[in-house]
Amino acid sequence: MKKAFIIFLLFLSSQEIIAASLKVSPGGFIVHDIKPGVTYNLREMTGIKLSIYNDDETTHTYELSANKPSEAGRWERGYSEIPDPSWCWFETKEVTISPRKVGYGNVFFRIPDKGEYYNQHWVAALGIMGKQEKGIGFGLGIYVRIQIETESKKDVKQKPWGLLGIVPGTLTFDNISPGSKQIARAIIYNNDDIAHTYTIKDIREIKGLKGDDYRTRSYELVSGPGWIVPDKDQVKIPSGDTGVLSVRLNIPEEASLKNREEILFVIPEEGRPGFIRVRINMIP
Amino acid sequence: MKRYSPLIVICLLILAIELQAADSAQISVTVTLENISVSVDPTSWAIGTVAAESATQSGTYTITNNGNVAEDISVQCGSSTDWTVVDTITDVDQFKMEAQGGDLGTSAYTSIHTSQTLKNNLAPSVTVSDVKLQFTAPQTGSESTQQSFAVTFAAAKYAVP
Repeated sequence: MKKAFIIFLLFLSSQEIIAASLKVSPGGFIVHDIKPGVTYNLREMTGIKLSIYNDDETTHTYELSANKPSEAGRWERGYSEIPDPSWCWFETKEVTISPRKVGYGNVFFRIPDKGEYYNQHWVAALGIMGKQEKGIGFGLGIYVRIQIETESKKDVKQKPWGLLGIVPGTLTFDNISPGSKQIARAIIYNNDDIAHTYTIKDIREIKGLKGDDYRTRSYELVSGPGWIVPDKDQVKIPSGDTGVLSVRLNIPEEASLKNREEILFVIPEEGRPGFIRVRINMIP
Repeated sequence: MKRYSPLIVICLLILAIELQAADSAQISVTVTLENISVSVDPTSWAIGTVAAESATQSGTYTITNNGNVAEDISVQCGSSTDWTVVDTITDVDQFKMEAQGGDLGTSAYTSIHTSQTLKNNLAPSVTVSDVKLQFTAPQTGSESTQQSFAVTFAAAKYAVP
């Protein structure tokens, strides 16, 4: 018997065919020093909100969601996926925006109050996705990645979350003057079930990475190698064990009094890397 | 009227101040003046009436990075009210949607029932102009009323692999 079954399908009822466009700003941001157990209202605390521009000639509704970054593609190297994207949320789940108008998304987040969640570098992907509407065949969406760095803390009893943990997440040198030499130490946790050899590289040694994707707004990246010197290029750590990385600070005599940062990557031979943020706070 | 010890009152005041401080922990935020913007042209595909299990190809679509930063573009098809989008049709009320173009290449179609990377590192003001879709209708016996579903093109700031 001939298959004469007919399926009626319609993608679109409108006869007018024009381009659809969506814009969101900012395209990404870093929040630093997030304390587990505290609820943050981003707009209230920082004035930052996501601006969503409906550049079309028709009204659209956008669904707002928080997701793991792997659902949206790649993310910044050195960061891990946020363990649970529900730790971030929008004030409203949808926003309807008139033609050629702008709407806003206000972001909240709260990391559970556990010791293992200090010293973390995570990414969540905030989705602004066009809601399926009758008569619209193609939807547009934008993912804004938020880099969440939890409070850096040395004296945490629990080992850090993740296959690779680094305590503290940020090494800070305070009241530094030109010519200063100091040493600080970080502990690297191999929480994996196999041994790893971690290679230490600064951000300039990794092709393609941009300092502005990692740098704290009020800091400049150190201008070259030699300011922050790890005591070893590689650290071999058995499964479930820890290793110590010492970092020597060598500030040139001619250095200015600008506060600076270095990003030191800790790269396993396989698996995702982590990083240590090193801050140099010069004398006021 | 109850009388409270001054010591208890002081303790309660200190506790209240500490709770307030904990609730208003300060954070710093690093934001760059970047925006992400994406457009698709044309915006639709009127597939019309099709036979069961038949494949229908679309015309060509153009995706443009209208933002000021390089973007990664992904594409995914959602299910309709009655039909489920799948990689391989094995049952009634299932359909396939595939795409080609950009980093997917143009020699074959790739299923977009899950999110697929259409183009990585698309520079600002640059287009992907060879995007095509292929729809495969459900089997005989499927729900035969009109269906609507959406293919979503999503953009995110480019991330180094």
